[in-house]
Amino acid sequence: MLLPILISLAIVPLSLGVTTVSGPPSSQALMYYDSNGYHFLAFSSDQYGLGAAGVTYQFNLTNAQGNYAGTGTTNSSGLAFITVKAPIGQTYSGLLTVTSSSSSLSGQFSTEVSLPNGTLVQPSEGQIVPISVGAPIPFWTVQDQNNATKRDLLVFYAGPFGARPQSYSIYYKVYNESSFQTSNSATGQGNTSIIFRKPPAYFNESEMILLGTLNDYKQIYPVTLPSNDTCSNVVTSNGGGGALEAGFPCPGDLLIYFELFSQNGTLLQTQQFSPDQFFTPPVVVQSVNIASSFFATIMGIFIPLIAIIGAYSSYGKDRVSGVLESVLSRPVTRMGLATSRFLSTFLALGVAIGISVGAIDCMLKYFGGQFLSATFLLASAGAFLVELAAFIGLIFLFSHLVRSSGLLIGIAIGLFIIFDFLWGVIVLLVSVAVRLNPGSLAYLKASTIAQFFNPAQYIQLVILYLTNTSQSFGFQVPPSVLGVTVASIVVAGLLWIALPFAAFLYLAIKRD
Amino acid sequence: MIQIQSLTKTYGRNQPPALDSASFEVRDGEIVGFVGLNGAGKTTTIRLAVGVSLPTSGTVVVDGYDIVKDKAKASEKIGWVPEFPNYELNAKVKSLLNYFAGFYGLSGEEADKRIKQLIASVGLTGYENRKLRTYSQGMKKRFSLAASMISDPQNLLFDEILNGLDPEGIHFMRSLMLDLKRRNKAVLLSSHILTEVENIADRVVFVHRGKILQVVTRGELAVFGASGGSLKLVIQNLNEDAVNYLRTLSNEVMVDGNSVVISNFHGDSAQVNAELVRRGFNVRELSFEKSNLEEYFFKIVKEAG
Repeated sequence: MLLPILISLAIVPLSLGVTTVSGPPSSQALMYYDSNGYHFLAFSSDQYGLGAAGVTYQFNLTNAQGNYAGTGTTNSSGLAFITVKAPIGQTYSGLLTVTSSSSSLSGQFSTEVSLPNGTLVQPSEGQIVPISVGAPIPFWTVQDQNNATKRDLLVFYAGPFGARPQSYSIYYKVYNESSFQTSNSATGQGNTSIIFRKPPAYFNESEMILLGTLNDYKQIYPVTLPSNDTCSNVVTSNGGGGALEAGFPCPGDLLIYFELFSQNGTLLQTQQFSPDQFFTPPVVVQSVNIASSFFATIMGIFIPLIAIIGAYSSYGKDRVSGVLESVLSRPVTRMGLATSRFLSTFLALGVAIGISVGAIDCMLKYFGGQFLSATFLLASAGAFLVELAAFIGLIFLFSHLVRSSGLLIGIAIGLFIIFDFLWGVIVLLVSVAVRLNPGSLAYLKASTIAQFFNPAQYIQLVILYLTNTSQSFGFQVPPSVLGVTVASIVVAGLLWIALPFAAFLYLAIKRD
Repeated sequence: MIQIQSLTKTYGRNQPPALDSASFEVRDGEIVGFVGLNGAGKTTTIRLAVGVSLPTSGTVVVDGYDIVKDKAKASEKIGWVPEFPNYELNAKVKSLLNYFAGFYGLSGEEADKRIKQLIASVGLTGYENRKLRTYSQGMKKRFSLAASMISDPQNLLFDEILNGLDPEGIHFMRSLMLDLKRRNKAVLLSSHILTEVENIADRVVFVHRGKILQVVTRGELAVFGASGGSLKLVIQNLNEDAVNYLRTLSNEVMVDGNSVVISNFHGDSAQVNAELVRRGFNVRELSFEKSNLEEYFFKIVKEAG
């Protein structure tokens, strides 16, 4: 059982790192034009905001007069400088294609800028125009390199004509969209209601807090914001007999404004974020996701494997070879011998599994910042014990049905392969044979019910219930619709523990 | 004391019983020989008596305890040496004996002392910390003997214990069994070596095709023994002429390949040899044994058909 612990040491932190922000590099671009044409400054980064090299940007500008293109690849800093020699002063429809080793995406843009009133105008020469592809610009959040529960702010911008910014300022403000108002009625009773305020488009520098200065095309800023369990900036009013009280929790209604000002104080860009984008350590969610995935896949394979090996070593081998008779001839009953071997195998491996699950939980806490919930942990451990007991029982049972070690080993391997690897294929084939559409709810139900008949997939049923998601398909279906309820899970678990053991015990007592 | 009553064992629905209503007993202070051809049911009987096999019907009572209903209590009173010792080969001998001792409530110093005595008594001193897989067949048999006597049981069942032993080993086992008898133990010995059984058994149980044919005492065997011995020959160019000649010497002639056993032979073995040579036959081996048991055995087997 040391092996799963060691593997999880490698997988869990890796999973944490990969799961937080995974996928293709973030890609953004800035545009300006001069007499030489349209210039693009592109930036690609990884999940930590560090420059990603080798990402190819292709800009296409098209209008009735023609089609103009330019291509470039990001350097080690993640930056690419690309020029499209298109006549300036015209309106183009732009297409940006970003290609990396792991993905490719495209986005359309215009060479015109949108005014606050929605009017599209030509930017002035040298004016920086952000082009967003996927991630927002110029502000977006990246994973903090040292704290998996935290995200930082990355700013990507340029000065006029693509110059490196000099002493640009970044300000932020936490704004509360809502507040509570308590009004006293004629009878003197207080009624509390929520008032929602329309957020402003932007704030002045004097109303905000300085986050830092921008002296490069890209910079990362750690963001420390007030706790989201209390509101800030609550307005108190005595008008109409009502009084607004401060300190009420309203985490869903906070907005965080980030604004970029030039050296001379001109507002260049403004953007709003929700606190979740900085506060939420999807650690809790991540821990459960990682644990769910790890338990269902890795442990789902290891538990049956160690159960089979343990059962064969402790009983099956001795039974088929006849060594068990040297024990049976001693003052021991058949039931006593059978039960004690079963229980000792189950307990030894069960303790190992318990330690493994505990170790995994500790690692999730260390790397992810939070333990799994007691319910999830105990339910998962219980599921593993069900699988353990089932496979031990099956091997003990088959050792009374066959007479050779080779055949018993073959059956053990067969059970492992069928239950762990081929079950899904079998279910699919049967479903197709009875004309169930593999993408349909009926198929999902059938495949879920089939899991009840596979002890190796018992953990998946439990996880399905605990996480309330159907993981095999891209849509969510309540577990109860699929027949996965507390009652069905418990009954299935008890049957998987009891039936193989009971059958084995019967043969051990009644047959040679 | 071991009391076997109407013991039957059937292995398959359409198969004849391996043991059919066998009844006999092994009393305290006696050695009972258990003889029969291969497949007669000797090992089946012993396995049923020890409790490693379940009877189809009948009972085995060991010192008052039914081996099926009171398995643990009955097993305390039994020591068993199987024909083919089958133990965990990767275990060290002393550890294994310690493990077995635990079943009898022996532990710690008491167990160590007992194990030391047993190992010495079977001549395995110096080998107790080796793994069983390093033991020769003879050593394994000695270990098996030690393991069977770990609790100094009142009843011992030896299944073909003399097989594969050299003369020293046979002498050792004989002395051991006689010592057990002196200590008022009940001993059941199954063996193909009929001369040894005849030497030490107080009574002999004959089994054939799952049925107990007869139980005779040493005295009854002695009375039967006045009638002759066994002449065994190996004739290289044995043919029908030779067999016909040999049939004139006794009406109990058994031929197996080039080997011939003439039971109830009263003549002169030298004369037989000379006659065979005169007739042109190449006699490779010739021996004469006067075994009451063997003769009696073939007699009753033949009568049983």
